[in-house]
Amino acid sequence: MKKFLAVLLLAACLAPFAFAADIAPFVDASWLEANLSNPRLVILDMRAPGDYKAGHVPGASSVLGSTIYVAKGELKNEVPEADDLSDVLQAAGVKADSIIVVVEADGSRIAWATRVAWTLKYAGLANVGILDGGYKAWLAAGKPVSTDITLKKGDYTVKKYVYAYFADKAYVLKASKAQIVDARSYDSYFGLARQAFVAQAGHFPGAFSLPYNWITTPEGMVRPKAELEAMAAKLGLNPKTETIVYCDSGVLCTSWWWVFSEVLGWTNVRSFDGSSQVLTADATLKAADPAVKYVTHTWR
Amino acid sequence: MKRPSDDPASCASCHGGIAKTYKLSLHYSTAGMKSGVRPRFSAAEAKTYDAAVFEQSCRSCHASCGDCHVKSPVVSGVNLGLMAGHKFVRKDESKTCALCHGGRVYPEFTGEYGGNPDVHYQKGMSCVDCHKGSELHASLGAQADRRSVPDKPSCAACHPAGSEKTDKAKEAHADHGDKVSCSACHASSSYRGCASCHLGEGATSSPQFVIGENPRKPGQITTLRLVPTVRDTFKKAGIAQGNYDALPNFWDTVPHNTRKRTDRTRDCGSCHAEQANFLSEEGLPSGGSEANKRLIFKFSY
Ligand code: HEC
Ligand code: HEC
Ligand code: HEC
Ligand code: HEC
Ligand code: HEC
Ligand code: HEC
Ligand code: HEC
Repeated sequence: MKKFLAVLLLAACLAPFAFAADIAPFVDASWLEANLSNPRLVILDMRAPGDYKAGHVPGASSVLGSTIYVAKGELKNEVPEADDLSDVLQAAGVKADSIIVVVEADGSRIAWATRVAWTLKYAGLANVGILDGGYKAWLAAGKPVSTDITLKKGDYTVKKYVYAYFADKAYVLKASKAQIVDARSYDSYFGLARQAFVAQAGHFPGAFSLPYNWITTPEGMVRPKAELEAMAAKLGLNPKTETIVYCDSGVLCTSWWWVFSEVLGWTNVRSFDGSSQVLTADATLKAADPAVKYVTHTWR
Repeated sequence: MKRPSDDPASCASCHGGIAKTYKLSLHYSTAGMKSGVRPRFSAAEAKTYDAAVFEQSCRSCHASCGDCHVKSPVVSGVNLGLMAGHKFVRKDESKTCALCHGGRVYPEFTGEYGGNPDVHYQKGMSCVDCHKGSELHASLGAQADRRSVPDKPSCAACHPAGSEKTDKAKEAHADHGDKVSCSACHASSSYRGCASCHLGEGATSSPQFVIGENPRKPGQITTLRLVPTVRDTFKKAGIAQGNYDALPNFWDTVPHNTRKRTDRTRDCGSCHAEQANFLSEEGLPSGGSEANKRLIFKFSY
């Protein structure tokens, strides 16, 4: 096994991210600094407006997370309507060929960063990356800080979403061969803790548990690709099988979507926007099908 | 001294103008809490109210100069301490306005209640970009209630008719003029309303979205908010509210969750066909004021 891991590590070091995009799924502060003068670069600062005003990566645009994952009635964290999302992206300076870097506060916010990045991919943008470790890592690396407010005008219009990245309740119930991954904490998975807006404790029967915060080290940096790959492999996940990731309300699940799809290159991965809030809900959320019965205190 | 800046006089030697007019402001006088209920009382009741309720209970919420400029106000035990050391700050909304208006306006504005954030917050604006120092200091003279504040912000002052970029917006605005308030179409989602307020016990608050006749502007429909005074709110103080039915239980409100697109801007039928969220007989609180009925709007067709 040791040897196997060593080979994996070696492979990870040699192979650059093998994708068509002009940016890696995670970039570090040095890469970002070196690319600041690239006219195609658009930096989306997702922190609170007050934090942005106090200082940010030079040239970054301020974007509110809650305009990218929006409330729709009782549902939290839904994908916005295409016209609203177009407005937000244009106001941030996004064009079709932009190289976009998502900046969150720090590594503990990784899932909020991946939720934004996933939404941009879902909205058809090709070149999207995330600043590893967030703004905290930028500061820690001693990189320059600006208080100038950037107003760029973009022209990207969301015409259609990439449905292959998306799953809803009906899809999950039909996908009997798919491997389902639960990205929440162990406590939620086992049913020891529950968010008020999720009707039942526990998890989707048969789901694998992969907590979102395992992606980062305690320092908040993304773990090496080989380690992430090993986590999935040892759990028994097959890269070739259709994979659907869910969580409570559609944020945390995008973290493993981003790792599987963008870092590891799996080609059939979907993120379930409505997640447990919809799966476990009764008719009040207009869920046509009856609630899924969750299981507790057990693996899978 | 507990609140060194409680008495505007301590600032008057140098900021004489502001200290003088500030006493006339709603933040200092909390006169809004008088004018908002007064007409429900008989003359004798009004006297009892002023002495027993207003001075004892309502006046204690007034803002000192320092609440907006020096020290974050202590609200429900949350004390953020001095802002910027012991210096005076011009503004720091998240540590001042947010604490007193944290039950409703501020979290609505930022979207923390789980609704959609106000487009102005999204664009980097905050409270003082619309509510100027002159409004809060009552620089233009005494303020009796929120409606009569002369330099309060107005949507149309910043977005004059005719400045729209699209035909869709231009037509929607031209069709309605003053008949439908900006908020009736642009308030994005539920906002806080209160119910069942009892003196000394507080009220319960819950999200709502209600459209009806503007009690302060006949001929206009707008977003309404249930305000908590019920028939026995002041019972403990011995006030029966003999004229309770003089005022409605709903008041016009400008929810701070403005969006360009809402269910209503997307679908004209939301009002014209379904009358979604319109105040109706069934939607009136039981035992409420008779005046509520006047706020029910029906299309003439
Ligand atoms: C001894 C005179 C004096 C007294 C008393 C005084 N101030 Fe000032 N204050 C000043 C001066 C001078 C300035 C600076 C004006 C300028 O920069 O234009 C100032 C500025 C301010 C500012 C603006 C700060 C800024 O960053 O622009 C605020 C707010 C303020 N004072 C509030 C108060 C309050 C509240 C009190 C009472 C608790 C008070 N002051 C008492 C002299 C005084
Ligand atoms: C110490 C608590 C407190 C602080 C701090 C405070 N408010 Fe208020 N505010 C109140 C109370 C109480 C009322 C109701 C007064 C009334 O109606 O009599 C009020 C009323 C208002 C009103 C309606 C009346 C008017 O003056 O037009 C506005 C607008 C307002 N506040 C804005 C602000 C803004 C902006 C800030 C921050 C710069 C702020 N408030 C800070 C307590 C506070
Ligand atoms: C409800 C909040 C609030 C209260 C209470 C308040 N102010 Fe202000 N004050 C403001 C706002 C808002 C501004 C404008 C800040 C800006 O535009 O940058 C301001 C500005 C000022 C300024 C600097 C600019 C100017 O207009 O000259 C001074 C000085 C000042 N206030 C003094 C006072 C004094 C003295 C008191 C008490 C008598 C007081 N304020 C009470 C909100 C308040
Ligand atoms: C884009 C401009 C704008 C911003 C920003 C803004 N307001 Fe207002 N606010 C208004 C308007 C317009 C009204 C309605 C004035 C009227 O006609 O009574 C209002 C009314 C109010 C009222 C009285 C409302 C009621 O329903 O009783 C309060 C309190 C208030 N604002 C507080 C705040 C606070 C606190 C903030 C910061 C979180 C803020 N406002 C930010 C425009 C704004
Ligand atoms: C003090 C001026 C001011 C006031 C008062 C004000 N706004 Fe605004 N509003 C702005 C500014 C500035 C923007 C941002 C414009 C931009 O970035 O294109 C804006 C943006 C908007 C937008 C989004 C426009 C777009 O093209 O995306 C809407 C809708 C809007 N305001 C409605 C309102 C409503 C409704 C009110 C009253 C409740 C109001 N505004 C009060 C200044 C104001
Ligand atoms: C009957 C509903 C209705 C009312 C009332 C209304 N609006 Fe609008 N408003 C719309 C629609 C529809 C749009 C276009 C939305 C879109 O682009 O999808 C719009 C767009 C806007 C925009 C963006 C304009 C642009 O250039 O694209 C602003 C700002 C705005 N409204 C402000 C206001 C203000 C201020 C008021 C009150 C004076 C008001 N609206 C009243 C329906 C309304
Ligand atoms: C918030 C509710 C609301 C929305 C949304 C709304 N309207 Fe209206 N509309 C009204 C009211 C109220 C009147 C006044 C009717 C009256 O006076 O009897 C009105 C009046 C009109 C009129 C004037 C003729 C008439 O029926 O009296 C036209 C035309 C109109 N609306 C078209 C539209 C169109 C087009 C849209 C969508 C862009 C729209 N409305 C959206 C509430 C609304």
